Amino acid sequence: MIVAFLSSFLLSFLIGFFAVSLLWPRGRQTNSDIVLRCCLAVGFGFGISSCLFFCWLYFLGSSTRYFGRSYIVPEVVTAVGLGVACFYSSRKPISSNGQDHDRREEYGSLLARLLGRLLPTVFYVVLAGSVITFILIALTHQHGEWDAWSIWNLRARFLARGTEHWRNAFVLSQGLPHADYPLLLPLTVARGWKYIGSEAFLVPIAVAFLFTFSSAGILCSSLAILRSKQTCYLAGTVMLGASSLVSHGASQYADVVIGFFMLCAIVAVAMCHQMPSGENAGLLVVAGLAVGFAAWTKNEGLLFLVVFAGVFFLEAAWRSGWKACLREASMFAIGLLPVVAVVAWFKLSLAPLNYLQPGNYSAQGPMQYFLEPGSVSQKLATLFRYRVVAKAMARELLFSHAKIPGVTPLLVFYALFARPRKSSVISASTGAAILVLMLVGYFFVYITTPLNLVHHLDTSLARLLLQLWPSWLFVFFLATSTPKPNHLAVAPHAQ
Amino acid sequence: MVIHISRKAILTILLIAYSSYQAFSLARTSKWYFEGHYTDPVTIFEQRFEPLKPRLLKSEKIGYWTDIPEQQPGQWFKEYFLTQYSLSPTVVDNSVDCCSLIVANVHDPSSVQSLIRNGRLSLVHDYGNGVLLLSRQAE
Repeated sequence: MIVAFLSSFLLSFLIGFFAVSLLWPRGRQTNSDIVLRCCLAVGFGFGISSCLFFCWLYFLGSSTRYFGRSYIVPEVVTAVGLGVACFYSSRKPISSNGQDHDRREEYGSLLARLLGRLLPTVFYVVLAGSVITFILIALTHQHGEWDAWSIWNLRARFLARGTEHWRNAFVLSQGLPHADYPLLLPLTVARGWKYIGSEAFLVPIAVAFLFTFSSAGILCSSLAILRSKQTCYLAGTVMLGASSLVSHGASQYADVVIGFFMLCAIVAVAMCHQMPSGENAGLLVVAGLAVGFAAWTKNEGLLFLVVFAGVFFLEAAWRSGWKACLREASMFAIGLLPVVAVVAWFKLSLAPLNYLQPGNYSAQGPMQYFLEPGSVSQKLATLFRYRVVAKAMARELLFSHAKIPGVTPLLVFYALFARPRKSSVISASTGAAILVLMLVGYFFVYITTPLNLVHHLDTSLARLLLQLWPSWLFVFFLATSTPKPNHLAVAPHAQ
Repeated sequence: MVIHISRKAILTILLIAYSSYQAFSLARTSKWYFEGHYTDPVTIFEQRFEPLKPRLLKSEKIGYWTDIPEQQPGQWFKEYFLTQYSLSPTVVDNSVDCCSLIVANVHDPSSVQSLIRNGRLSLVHDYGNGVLLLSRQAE
């Protein structure tokens, strides 16, 4: 069983690693680059293998008694094909050695050097503590928390157990909530169970673990490449320590997974901006794939797709003109379209209506207690709703679901004393624009929700903001400068 | 010797301290869970339905009845979703009129008697722990 478990994860990792390596700018081989590629490979591998598994399930899954474990074949073929392409691509002469931004900030004074050593030490201690915490929570909540068992693992059970009846996962029934949600996570879990031949609770836990800590890996390694090692450790410590990322990850929520892909897309675009325009084509395909996988994870990913594409094209057109914009857009589309095609195929052929669409819920039975009457236009015209949503969002941002103010005020003060970095203005403003528009989108989803507003906010707002948290941290630390040597000095003679 | 530290360095240290404190608060809570103070309600709920599973066909759709009042929607939905989770891939429909077989999830065993007495349903098997399989009587 352990061999089957490891081989299922290894195969998807290899698919992801070869795909990312094929697209990665040539000549970049620093440690941070390798860590970043490995972390991206985790998510992209799961993304690609879930699409392959979906195709297998759609065409052959109903006849498992004849096709048995044939779902392994397309994965092996994909891994071998990408591996061969990667091998031949790596033999070509390197046209550019890439600009290596990986550098260590030097601190002059003794105390400053101490801070320089303190940051990595604290980061590794917090990382070790987070890993232990994750394992303890996951082992005591083997099925995950509410959304995990009622949506994601439930769907995975249908896909893994259902054989010819796997499509029953998408019938309209109150017991199958959010049946229109995309399938990256359930397919990944069901695929792991199929490989093992049993429904081991270790599979969803391992998937959640890999996504949670790969998110931290992407944040840290990308900031190490684009900024400095000190920024990487500080951002990693804040991400793991000062948020609910670890507890939500261990609860097997898909919000961590979609947050992972949002971060991938924003990091890929930021790295594009640091490279000459002729050499960033692969990173644009990576960004397209990441946006596609976000849409394949949760419906919020569809909003992210629209927002990201809009901001990306406007920024590219403003920066380099329409001709270059079209070239960048076509590379982005090469990554995006295959995944979006799978999402569209699922939405058009299997998925029922979304719960936010009017009329999808009948006000019968206990559901009547969760509904709020009124049409969308009536809700848009009710000022009271704006006040409730704005207040809840502000409270969540300030307190992060705790009784004392969370990390946001500290970050605001930090930004006040940090000089903005001119070299990161374009990347940071693009990322910030995407994230602000996502917040606006979430705001209006709450304004128009058919559910009881307060209940809807209470049960989902923290998770929605968590989706954006890794990307916010990336944009924040990309845009602000770290302490300079003269900010922290020991003066030997003072009055 | 005077140590001169900028406000930004102080904020860096505060960020590290706050993040470390939060990380270890969470670690303390998770240790509390792990020491046996917490039992996973999903696992317990699933155990109740374990004897019923072999009786159900994968393709089947069954009805659902519970004695939890609708005025407690939180608890009502939690147990309904848990029943669906436990019995998947059988679809559990929130109705007693949809299907020939109905699973009853009851907290008070006498509550199901009223359903049986008024002639709508008959008992197929009592699996214990408040889990019963009922069948709809022919009109």
